[in-house]
Parts: sequence; structure tokens; C-alpha cells
Amino acid sequence: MRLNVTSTSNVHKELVACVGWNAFNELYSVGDDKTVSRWDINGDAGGKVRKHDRCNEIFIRPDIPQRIVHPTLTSNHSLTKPPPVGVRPRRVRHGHALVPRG
Amino acid sequence: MCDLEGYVTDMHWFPAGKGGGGTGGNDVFACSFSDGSFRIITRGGRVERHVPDAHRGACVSLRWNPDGTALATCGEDGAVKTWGRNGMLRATLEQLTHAVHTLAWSPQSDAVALGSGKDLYVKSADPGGRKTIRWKAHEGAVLGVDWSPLGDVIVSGGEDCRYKVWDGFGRLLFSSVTLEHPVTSVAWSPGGDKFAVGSFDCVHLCDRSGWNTGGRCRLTNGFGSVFGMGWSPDGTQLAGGGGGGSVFFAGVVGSNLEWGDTEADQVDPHTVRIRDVPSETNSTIELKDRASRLSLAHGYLVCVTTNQVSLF
Repeated sequence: MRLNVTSTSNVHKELVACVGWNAFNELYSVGDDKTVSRWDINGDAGGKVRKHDRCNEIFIRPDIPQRIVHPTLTSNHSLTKPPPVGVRPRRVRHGHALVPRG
Repeated sequence: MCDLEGYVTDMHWFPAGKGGGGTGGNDVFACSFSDGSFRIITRGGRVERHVPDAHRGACVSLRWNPDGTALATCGEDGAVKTWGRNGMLRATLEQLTHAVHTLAWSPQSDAVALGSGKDLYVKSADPGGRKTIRWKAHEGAVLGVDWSPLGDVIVSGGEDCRYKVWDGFGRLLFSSVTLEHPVTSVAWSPGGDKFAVGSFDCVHLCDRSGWNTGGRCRLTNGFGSVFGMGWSPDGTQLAGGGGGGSVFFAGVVGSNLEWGDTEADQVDPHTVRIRDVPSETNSTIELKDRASRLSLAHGYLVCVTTNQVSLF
């Protein structure tokens, strides 16, 4: 039993800090060049999916109409507003309903 | 695939089959950042949650528990915190005096192993659980720790160029020889039968007792230290990222089986060579998928791939 290196690719420009496989046999790697790359199981780099700019918003799932407390808000500010127009409703996931805290 | 603002220190996929929806929830991963925040990002690259100020200083590492019910993060502030699937703080599990560099969940999700300084800690995830165990694990800082998916076996790697195998109570099961360079990462295979040890410019493959069966696998020059490693879900491929910005992929080959006069040898993930020793005849079996497990007995060869089981 031994390892046989099949490919070594240099997509990132700087240090690659971490990698992770998902159940679809895809590898995601994140580097210090602040990019996320996708690979298939044979080590071929996946195509670019999309690029996004700043992403500081919290997405609220419209399907769970419960009180959500933003962790950074000092008071127990509840956000029960409907989702802004243009936010695509996301698939309902079961098993982890939001629990009001605070 | 997408760009992020900030330096990522670690990532971990939500465990497969533990969420809802058609994909079992395995379409998001969590990323920790050097500014102390973490984000939960979808497979497409969209940030689903952003939790700023999760830790003071950098958030060094994070792991979902195998149940998918909690995310544990550790930081330079010495805190270990658990969070819900939606990024809401559940509890501060531990507050140590030194930075926590690495953590791993037990397979039952009831305890976490932490590496802080030269020490390893095993901390119960329930407030009323068993007492925290602490022991000195290495002569240098503990850089990597992973808990076997099969049971109470923990492997750790340190700056003292050794990797060690422990049980869940801190008893030493195996200590390696001193390698040439510090051990920067360790990763158990999903089957729990082997683990990989990442070091500078090389990877070692070891069986579950810690014995270095695979020898040293050299990577290309300039690869640098292997900072992150992961096994594919079927356990056939190992991938890792290095200080030079490269990503390597390696398959496990050369598992050799014998039964009576017959030998089976896995040449590459798709090919198995059968040899009849007395008559010196060879035959080769080509598989459509990657063989994740082989078994040879009673005149039959069983090959398990991701999609099918073949009998020869």
C-alpha cells in the first residue's frame, strides 16, 4: 500500500491553506490569494463558477418565519422582515429550525 | 471559483447526508478567516452566513461534528466555541490560555480533541460529560490532530517532526521516528484503516496502528509544507495543498492480496492484476470506477467501487 501522486497543479498564486472534499467527489481548495478553486476527482481544475464582491449580508431564509438574532447586534434585535425583493427563496432544509436565543 | 476578502485559515464541508434537501445538506462548507470571523459558503460560492468576531485574533480551525448538528471553531484567543448550523453561538466549550491550533471531533460527536501548544486536550462536548483530559503530546507545538472515524484513536502531528497515535484517554499507542521536517497536517481516511501525514515536500501513508506502510511519497520540488489534506469520500484519493500554492492528488495503489496460490495486486485505481503463482500466468481486470476495496478468498475476487460490487 503506497501513494502514487497522479497530478500536482499550480492554480493558486500563493499558499494553499486548506482543502476539502464534498460528497460529489469534488475538491475545493482555498489559498492565500483569496480564491476558492474547484477540482474533480482526477485532479483537473473545475471551471470558474462565478465571482462575487463583498458579501457582508446575512441571508434570511424566507421559509422559516422565526425570530433570528444577529450575533453582532448588542440588543436582542429581531429580524422578522420579509426577504428583500429579488432574493430567491431557498430550498427548505429540515432538521435544523432556527432557535431564538438571548 | 470565487474570491473572498480575507485570508482563509481552514475549511470544512458540512457532513454528507446529515441535512435536509436533495443533497443531504452537503452543499455548504465553512471557512475560518484570519480576522477571527467564519463564513458558511454554498457549493456555488455564495456566502450564506458571515459571523464576524467569532474569535479575537484569528479563527484558526473549524470542524462540523459528524452529526452535522454543530460547528466547532478554535482561535488564537484560546477559545473553543460551538455554533449551530445557522452560525449562532451555542456555547464556549473551553477557554485556554494559549492559542488553539487544531481540533477534531470524535466520531460520536460527544468530544473534541484540541491541540494547544505542546498539549493535547480531550474535552467533552456536553457540559456534564466526562472530565477534560490534558496531556503533553509533543516536544513542539501540536500542528495537526485528527480523530479516527472508527473509534477512540487520535493521531497528532507536531513541530517536533513526529506523529503519534493515542487512544481517547491520552495513552500513547504509537510514536513515529523523527522525520526530516515538522508534521503540518494529519488526515484519517474515511474507512479508518489508514491515515496520511503531511510534512515538507512529502506525504507519508500509515496504517491504523501508525506503522508507515506506504513509505515516504515525495512531492514536486517547491511544493512546500502540506498545510491541508483531505481524503475523497470513497477513500481512494488523497489531496492536499501546500505552501507553494500547488494542490496534489494521489491515489492509493499497491494493496497486495494473497489467497492460496493466487495474488491480486492493485496497479492503479482502475486496474487489478491477478497472478497465479505456480503457472506464472497473469491476467488483468479493468474496472470502470475506482476500486475502493478489494478482497480475495476462496477463489473469488470481490472489488468494491463507488457504484458497484464486482465478483470474479
